[in-house]
Amino acid sequence: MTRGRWVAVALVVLLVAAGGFVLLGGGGGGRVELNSSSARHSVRLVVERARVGTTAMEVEIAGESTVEGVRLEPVMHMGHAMPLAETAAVGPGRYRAENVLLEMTGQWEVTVVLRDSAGTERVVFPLLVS
Amino acid sequence: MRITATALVAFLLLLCGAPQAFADGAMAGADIHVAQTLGARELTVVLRRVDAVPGPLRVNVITHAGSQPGRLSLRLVPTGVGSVSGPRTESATSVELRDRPGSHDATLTVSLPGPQELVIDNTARIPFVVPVSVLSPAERVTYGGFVAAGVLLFVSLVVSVKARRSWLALVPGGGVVAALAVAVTAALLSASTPAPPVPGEDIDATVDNVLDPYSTRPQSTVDESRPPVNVLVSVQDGVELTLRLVDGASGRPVDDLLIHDSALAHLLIVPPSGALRHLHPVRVAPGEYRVHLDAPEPGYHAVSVEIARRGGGVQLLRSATGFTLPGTPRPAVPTTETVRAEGGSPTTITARMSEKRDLQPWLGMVGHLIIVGPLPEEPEVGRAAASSATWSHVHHMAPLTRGGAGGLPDETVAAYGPEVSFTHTFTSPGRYRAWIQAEREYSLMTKPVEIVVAPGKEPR
Repeated sequence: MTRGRWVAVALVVLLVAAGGFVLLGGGGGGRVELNSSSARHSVRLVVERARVGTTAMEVEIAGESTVEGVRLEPVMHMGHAMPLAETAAVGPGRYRAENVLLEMTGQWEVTVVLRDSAGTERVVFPLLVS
Repeated sequence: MRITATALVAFLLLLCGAPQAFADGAMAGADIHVAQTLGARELTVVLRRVDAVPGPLRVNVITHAGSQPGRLSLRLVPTGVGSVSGPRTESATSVELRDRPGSHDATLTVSLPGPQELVIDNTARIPFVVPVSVLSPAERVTYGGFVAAGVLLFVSLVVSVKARRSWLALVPGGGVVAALAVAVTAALLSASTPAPPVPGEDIDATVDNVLDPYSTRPQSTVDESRPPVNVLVSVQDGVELTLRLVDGASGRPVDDLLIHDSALAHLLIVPPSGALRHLHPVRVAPGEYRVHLDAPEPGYHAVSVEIARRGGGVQLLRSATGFTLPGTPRPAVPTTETVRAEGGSPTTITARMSEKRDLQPWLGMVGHLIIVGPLPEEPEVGRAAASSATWSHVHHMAPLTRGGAGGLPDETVAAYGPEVSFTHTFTSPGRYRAWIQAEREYSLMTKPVEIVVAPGKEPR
């Protein structure tokens, strides 16, 4: 076969692969970023891997933060509450918890509890684990 | 060659002109009716369907007979969690309630699709979801296929006229056929594509899954149902009743109630006199509902709450404790009628609630029948109701209006009745107390009835 034909075959294969990728959604690494806000804070929750197993979760609080501590309370909606996960500060307004266990697929909810001098605030993030 | 090309073009034009087989995207949303007992007023708040985002949200506040005039503040707060952070624009207005019962209108502005809260008088927070109309993947492929076919058709025309080699026109021509085949196949399949889980009803709503419901695939292996709920009842100052709903497994506040039968929670209170109260507590915080008791009675009150959780059916929560207000209980109100029934087989109870067809749907239903029993020998109806084995809530449905946009008729439609009928099977013989409720001239009528159930003859 000539070179041109090889190029044409390669193009067709590429197109089919791209089409398949678009149709089947690719999958991705399961990283989820969610934004919400409470009365006093704007909060972002980053779940490194929203899949069954353990994952790291990071909380980012925008702006001048007066927050003293952050903890995470993951709950599976079928009624399984997981042990709460304390976070460690890893930067200004950034808190991280390693090895949070997501036991099974389905609808989860991660409550981010923020403690500061004015009291405690709770921000609820729905999370679909696949 | 030319003839072949012309025939091909004519055939393709014919195909494009054929009636379109693909379905339109599902109509996004319907009207939401929510009953709210706010202070001394019993209100029905109707949130009309949102057609465009950003766009207007029309709100009707329907008051009932004897409702005090005054001003209510309304605030719309986007509460959705999403992958994109940005400013959230709230919208606020107020509505002037007249002393005459009826509908009072206000308009708010929706800035974002997804979860929202309508805050009434800085107290009641009604969660709801503003959906958007989304094309299914099959529909998108259909449209894409037809567009590609159109473009390739043009290309094939140009090529067939300009190209030196006639076979070159077959390449885009073949493309047209392939694109059309894809489009028609997708169109035929689009009807049978399973619908994605509905954000806010089947799964927790976020801005992302409202904008793209097809991104969350139904997970057939996962049990979507959620645990039962415990209700904790407490009274402040003798008039403010607080209900805390907690998850039966995790113990966390339950904040995933669906609006069912036009309310987030239907609270039934049986006081010592037996004058039933059917109220609709307002949500003041996640899992916390509050209601004002107008002219409360002293003594023990039996309490039950009907709720529906996301991903689960309706639950009847009976408070094991009820609540007691200090003072000497009033004597029981006598029932106006006694109905005889037989246990074990369906009994139909009919009541004439008006002289003509002028009943209004209340909570989406023409009539409600609430039954408690069998009652033990006990002078205080509240205590008797608390220890009776069954509490039932039966409806007389409003006939569905064909072709009506938005869903249920609201209370301004006074065209039902005058008779309401209910069919119910009594399991155990005994004496029951029942209340038949219907609305007429914006006033809720409650008719207390005694039902005496004889042991059934049919073996079960």
